[in-house]
Amino acid sequence: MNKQFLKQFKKMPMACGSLVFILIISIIAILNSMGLNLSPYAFDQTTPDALQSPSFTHPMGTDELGRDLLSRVFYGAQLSIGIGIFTAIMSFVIGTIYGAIAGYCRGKVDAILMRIVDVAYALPDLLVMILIGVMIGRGTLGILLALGLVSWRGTARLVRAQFLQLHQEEFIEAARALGQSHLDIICKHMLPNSLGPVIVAVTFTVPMAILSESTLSFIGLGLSPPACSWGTLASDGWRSLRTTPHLIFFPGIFIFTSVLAFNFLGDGLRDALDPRTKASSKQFF
Amino acid sequence: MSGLTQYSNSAESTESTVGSKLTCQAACAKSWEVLDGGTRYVFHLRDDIFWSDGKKLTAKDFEYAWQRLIDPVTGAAYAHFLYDVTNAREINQGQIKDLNQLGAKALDDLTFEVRLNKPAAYFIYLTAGPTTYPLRKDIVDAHPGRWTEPSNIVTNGAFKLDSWQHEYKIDLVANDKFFLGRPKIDKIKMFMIPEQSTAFSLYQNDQLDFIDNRSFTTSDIEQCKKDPNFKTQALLRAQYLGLNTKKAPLDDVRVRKAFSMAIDKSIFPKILRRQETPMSSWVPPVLIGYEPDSGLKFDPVQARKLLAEAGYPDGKNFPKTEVLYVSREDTKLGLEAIQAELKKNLGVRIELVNQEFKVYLTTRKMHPPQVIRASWSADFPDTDNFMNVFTSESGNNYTGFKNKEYDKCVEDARGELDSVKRANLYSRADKLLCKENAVLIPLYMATQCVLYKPWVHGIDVNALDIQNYRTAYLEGSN
Repeated sequence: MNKQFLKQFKKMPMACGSLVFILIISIIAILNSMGLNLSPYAFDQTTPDALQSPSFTHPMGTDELGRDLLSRVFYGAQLSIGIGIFTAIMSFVIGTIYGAIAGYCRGKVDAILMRIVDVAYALPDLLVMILIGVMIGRGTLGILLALGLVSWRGTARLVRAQFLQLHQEEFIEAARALGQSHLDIICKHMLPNSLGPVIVAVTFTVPMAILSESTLSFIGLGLSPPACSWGTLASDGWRSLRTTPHLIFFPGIFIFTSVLAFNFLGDGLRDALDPRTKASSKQFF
Repeated sequence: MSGLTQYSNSAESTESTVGSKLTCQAACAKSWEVLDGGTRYVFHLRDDIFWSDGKKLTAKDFEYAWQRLIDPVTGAAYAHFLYDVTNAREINQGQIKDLNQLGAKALDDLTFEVRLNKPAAYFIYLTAGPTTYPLRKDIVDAHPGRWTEPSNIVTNGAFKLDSWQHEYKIDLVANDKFFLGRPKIDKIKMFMIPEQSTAFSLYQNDQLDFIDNRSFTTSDIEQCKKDPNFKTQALLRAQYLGLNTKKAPLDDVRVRKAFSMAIDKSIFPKILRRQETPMSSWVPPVLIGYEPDSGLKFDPVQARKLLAEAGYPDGKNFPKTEVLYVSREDTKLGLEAIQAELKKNLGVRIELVNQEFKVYLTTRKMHPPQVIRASWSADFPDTDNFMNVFTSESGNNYTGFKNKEYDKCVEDARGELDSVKRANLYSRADKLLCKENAVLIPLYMATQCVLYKPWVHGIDVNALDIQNYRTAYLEGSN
């Protein structure tokens, strides 16, 4: 299975390229969070050179307070990618457990749990995120929880659907006939077999979270200055689109490419994990 | 609308700092007398003023407007404006029920008399502001709560309200019968555009003729400055940080002083780029009582020392300190600069908390955090209007500062007619506020920037940010 997967995956240069790109960004983010400065300026260091265009000293130029945009973009990677990945993990953990219970128990439990999901789906995401943001308070923790709590519903439905399908499979019946415990059946047989689509869905959660974070920061419930993410950099920068376009260009490019990369990666994973899709038929990826 | 008096036109003056030069001219009142040592004002109205529905304007309309302002039932936020008038405070606070006891009376159709408790040096300015404009009792009574709608409102100004599409557009048309002469422009369309960049684009595409500060961002300014029709008007609008004297760690005066001395105010004009005037005292430089050394000067070394004395050497163990501000691009930018200054000079990291304006107002009143970023726009060009903000009974004082000497200085200066004595009282109060107690950190005086098309002439913007279109006219290519 694994070898097959790698073989398929390697056939998709876009997905591989995306993975490499994401790895590079993640390394930058990790180095930054460990306190290693990749550029000579600190992200909140003001200098008298305000609104400079890109140059050798400031490869991405500077903002209104003379802060080096390159260091801010690197610092922003830490928060944007971090928030994206943590949200994906939260959505994976909550969604899988919830969906697994519903899909395995079926009947009344399933009905009740799924109605709760329906209700959760009916609430507008932004409203829920604002409420959670107000309750928990500002800052990274608030954003993480808010995004995590709105992103698990899709995963839960997906896992449940997979489980319902797997119930009919013979190997599950065999496992049950052998007298394996419920937990063993879930963990050893059903989960591994439903993981493919879930991983793909979770990969798509990352770009969603990156974009939602910028929305939250934009309305003032997100990060407080001088902390910055790509979202806040972009929302600050787009105002000066006409006069100093570099302020929106560079954060924009990073949001765009990383969202694209996560989407390509998700597509690649789907094709590689789903035996029914032949990678060769999708040369583009 | 037009009041008893009006501010002199500042369009002719080329200098950008006026403020003190604003004087009151005749408007609805053709002349007035100041009697009884400044405690009685008699206004003589013009005989040729008509409301937009054709009825004649009389002194009764002023009497009604002033009574309505002070009536506790109206609940006007600006009722305290007239507290200098005899019995005004008592009526507004409910001790006197009879509105006719107010010391503002129509003696006959064309004579309006105002009696004051004691002389007030700035009183005449109050008659030029919108708070004291005349009102028609029959109109307000006929449409309670809706008398300002275009179909109901009756006015006496240079322009008439033609239509008002809320949150979108206001249409004004020239008033042919305006008593100071019909304005030269027939129609004014005012658009309410929430997005700054949209407004600026509309201006660039010749769809707007005139825009101001609200329509361009800090980064647009550089581009605007290249335009020959870009003008900056200094305003009597003070930007400051109010420090909460009741909440740790700012309940310690040494910490407050350290904060005040650690911020280099000369950075603001460089960052905000609108020719702001840095301030270190609360009395603005153009008004009476200003003294350059009333406030604390930028001195990072001394600031560090004070902070160490207060128990936080190099900002170590400094408690979490929040600054509340309104979500606006320029305020945020200025605060990020202050945040960087405090970190650099004191080693203290303050937290910035932004809120939407209405939420901000509630928070400020109910649960003020340690620091509040606020702005004070003068209602009239006199120091009293600024000093009054921080008296013990002021509704705008949320710093917890209550000081008997300060209150007395401000109260005494109100009625003081000798300008040297008055200036001394104000500078004493200023020192109490900014230097000895460091209750607030004055930052800068804001400006109004306007940009108009080459064919637009004569729009007057004054230091109170009153924009007058009466003298405007169009000439040249359109």
